[in-house]
Parts: sequence; structure tokens; C-alpha cells
Amino acid sequence: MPIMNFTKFTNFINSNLKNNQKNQKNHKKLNKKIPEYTLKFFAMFSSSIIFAIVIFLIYNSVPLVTELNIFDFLLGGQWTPSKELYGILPMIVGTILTSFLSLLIAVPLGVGCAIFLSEIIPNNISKIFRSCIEILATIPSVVYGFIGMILLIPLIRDIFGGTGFSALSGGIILSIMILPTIVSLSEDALRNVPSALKDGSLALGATRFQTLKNITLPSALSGIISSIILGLGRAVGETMAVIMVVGNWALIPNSPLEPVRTLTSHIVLNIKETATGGVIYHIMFATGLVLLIVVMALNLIAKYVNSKYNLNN
Amino acid sequence: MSKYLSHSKKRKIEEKIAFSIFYLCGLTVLGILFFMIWHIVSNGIGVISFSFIASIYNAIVGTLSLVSLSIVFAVPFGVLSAIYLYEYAKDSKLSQIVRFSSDCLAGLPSIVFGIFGYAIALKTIGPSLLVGGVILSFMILPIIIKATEEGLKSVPSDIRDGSLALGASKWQTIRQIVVPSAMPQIITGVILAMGRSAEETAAVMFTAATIYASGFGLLNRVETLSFNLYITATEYSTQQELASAYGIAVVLLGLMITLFIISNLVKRKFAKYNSNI
Repeated sequence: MPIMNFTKFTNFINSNLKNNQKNQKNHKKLNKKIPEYTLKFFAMFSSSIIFAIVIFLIYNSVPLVTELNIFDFLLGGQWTPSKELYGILPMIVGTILTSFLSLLIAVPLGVGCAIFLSEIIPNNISKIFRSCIEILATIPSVVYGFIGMILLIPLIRDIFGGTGFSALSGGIILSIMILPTIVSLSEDALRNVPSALKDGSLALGATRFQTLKNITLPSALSGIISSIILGLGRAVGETMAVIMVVGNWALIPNSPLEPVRTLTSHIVLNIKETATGGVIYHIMFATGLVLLIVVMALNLIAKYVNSKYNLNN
Repeated sequence: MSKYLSHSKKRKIEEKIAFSIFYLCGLTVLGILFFMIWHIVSNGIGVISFSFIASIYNAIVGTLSLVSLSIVFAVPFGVLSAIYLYEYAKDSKLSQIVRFSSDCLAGLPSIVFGIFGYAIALKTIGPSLLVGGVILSFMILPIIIKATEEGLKSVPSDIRDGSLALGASKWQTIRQIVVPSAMPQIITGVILAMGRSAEETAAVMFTAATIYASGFGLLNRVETLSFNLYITATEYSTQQELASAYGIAVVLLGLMITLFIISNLVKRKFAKYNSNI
């Protein structure tokens, strides 16, 4: 009998222990899962923002399809809301013109500066220099616009005549604004070229410039190109500095010295005058959508170029 | 022999010309920066006085409250998302989506945030401090995610393994070991994000900013430094108004450069810490 009791007792203890272990295991599992799921929720919420924005823009531009022809909208050369002409081609031309003018200035200057930083001056001076360029990137875009209005506009007016508010002014201000992007990313690309390649070239008797021209630059080319595309993306999306210097005429310009209006300034100039639900209201969202598609495409291309041809990957 | 020498001479001249062009590029960029800062500061520093600060007091408060609000919203989401991405999801589908969307968000022009926020504001409580703060927090979220992820990446896996080997759970390890080690980089990211939201104008001008703030509260519009500068710069009629635009520009520039210096100091301190490991 006592033996029976004893086995009963041990059974009871064992089952209790097992239960306990089971409970503990469940408890542990739960403890493990709670943080993970909480974090997952936050991650999913963060990523949902961009989808919300895209869906919102599409939802608000769709009513346009019934109200006007998409080709009239994208390729119409006239923005005259009073006559129901809603073409945004002048703004597209204005954006392209200012952005490419800015690249024309910023690319040679920026890439030259990146070479200067990575190849010519010693590292400790280069570090200080780099901080200066980072400061250039932190200057607010309204301050750029203000400087453009105060310094650049009178300068352009004195040299070329006219009002000074022009695509050229926009291009110059934008070029300064995208310099930090181009310089720092190009410098990274140049520094990422394996030193074995450069040393090999130098050991074969090439000069530093020949090494740069034939070895370093071609190897860093993909990084430099992607920095230029990213700079272009920034130029297309820049708003405040541009609106302050380009004059904002909704006409297709004949020369870079004429005022233009960019897609971004078009949105700023029109949105406050729109009642919710009107045609212009929807057009502003469609314009935002065009902007978003262009900038995102540029960013993706830059990323693709960088990853596809990067030596380090 | 002489031909060879002349060739080498030619190479040397070529190198000299090319390198001096690069020199010129570098100095031009530096020159532009110094000229701009010098111009703003030399014209604006005289304006700064006690009464001037008092006159832009509302704008300073507005800017700071927008910055703090956006940080309060963005930091938990940014940091926790990044922890999930790096510590749990590594390379899963979800993490790819989150990374991709954060990249997209980072590249989005600020005016797109502006119209998005404007439409949201119109449908809800109207342009206000709250809406502006939320929209700004969307803008700075990618900066914080990226900085946190970089911070987590820099924590050596030995430390994680050590903590796990001592019996700590994964969450304990992350909370008590990994995140504190990544803290300097997270802080750097937060400071950068603060700068980003302090300078922002396009996203704020339709969602939160006004020229004259009537009262202060979450549901009220606020004045901001950047919007005030925009309005004063585009609409000034007297020399005095122009001077006050310079003054605001100096304050804004000072704020940005201060934030930049602080973030660099944190970074440097972190570099020291890192070399001790």
C-alpha cells in the first residue's frame, strides 16, 4: 500500500512538474513573442505611411479622368483655369529646365570637388572640408531661396537684363543645394575603389592623374552616376528655394533667362485657392503624383545603378 | 631618351593642370559656403537684439514645438521599426518592404507631404500644430530608422551572444545591451531629424504655419521661423523688414549649425567608445 501511495505521489509530482514546465514554456514563448509582435506592428505601421500617401494621391487624382483628358493634362501647353485649360506641360518643362541647368553646374563642380577631397588633399584636411560640405546640406531651403533673391536675382538682372527671376537663377540655386549630395556620395564612391587597383597602376609608372583618369574614375563611375541621379531627384523635388527665384510664370520658356514655374511651385501656388473637391484641387494631387513618380523612379534608378555595378558588392 | 623625357614632362604638365582644376572646384565649393554664411551673418547679426528675439518669440516657440512633436511621434516608431528590421526580421519579405518604403519616404519631395497633410487637415481638424507635427514625423521617420539600423549594425554580435549565453532572453538582450550600445548613433539620427523638421517649410506651410498665431495649442496654427522667413523675404517692402528677414535667417542658420555641431560631438564621442571595444 505505501508503495502504491508512493507511486501515486510521484505520479502526482511528475504531472505537476510537467504542467509547471508546460506553463513555464508557454510563458517563455509568450514573453518571447510579445516584444516581437509589438515591434512587428510598429514596423508595419511605419511602412504603411508611404502606401497611404500613394493611395491618397491616386484616390484624389482619379476624379480627373472623368473631367479632362489625361493627355490634355500632361501635354497641354496652357494653364488658364478661367478658360478651363489645365495643361501642366509648362511646369514639366520648367522643372526639366531648372533641374538640368543645375546639373550642368553641379556635376563638374561637385565631381571635381569630390576628386579634390578624396585624391588630392590629405585626409585630416579632407575631414574638415567634408564637415563644411555637410553644413552646406543643413542650410534650410528657405535660406537658399532668400540668398537667391537677395544676391543672385540682382546679379542675373545686371548681367542679362530682364527681371532676373528666371530658370537660370533657379538652376544656380538648385546646383548649390544639390552639391552636398553629389560631392559626398561621389567622394564615397571614389574612396571605395580598392587601393590595390590604384597602387598597381602607380607601380606600373602611371602618374597620379593617369591613375585617376584610367583606373579610379572608371571604377567609381557607377557611384558617381548614382550620386548625380540622386542630386537630380533632389532638384526635381525642391520647393521653397525654387519658388522664390524662378518667377513662377506658367508659360513654356523660350530661353533659360525667362521665368518658369516648376511642378513643386505650381502646387504651392495653387493649393490655397482651391476649394475641396474642385478640378484644381484634383489637379494638385495629380501633379503631386507626377512628382512622386518621377522622384521615386530617379531614386530607384540611382539605387539600381549603385548596386549593380558597385565594385564592393 | 629625349622623347621619353618630353613625354614625361607632358604628363606632368597635364597632371598639374588637371589637379589645379580640381583644387579650384574644391575651393569654389568652400568659397560658396563661406560667402553665403558670411553674407547672412554680416547682414543679420546687427539685427539680433533682445527686442528682435521678443518679436520672433512666437516663431521660435512654434518651430520648437513642431520639432518636439515630430520627434515624439517619430522616435518610437522609427527606433522600434529599426529594431524589428535588424534584430528580428533580418532579410524577410516584410523587412524588405519596410526598407523599401522607408527609402521611398526619404526620397519623397516635401511638398508631397505638404499636400497630403493639407488634405488630411481639411478633412479632420484643420491646419494645426498637431497635423504639422504628424506630417513632419512622417518626413523624419526614415532618418531615424536609418540611423538606428546603422547603430544596431555597429554593435558587435559577440556582445549579443554573450548576453544570450548568460541566459538573458532576446528581448532583454536588445533592451539592456544592444540598444544602449547603439544609443549614440540613435541620438545622432534624432538630432539630424530635429534639424530636418526645424528647417522644413513646404510641408509645414499648409499644415501648420501661419503668419500670425492667435493662440498656442495643439489645435492652433503656429508661427515658424522658416515660414516667417519665407513670407518676409518674398513680401518685404521696407529696409527694416528686409533686415528682420536677415535676422530670422541668422537664427535659423544658428539653430541648424548648433544641431550639426552637437550631432558631430555625439558622433565623435561614439567613435572613442567604439575604439575601446
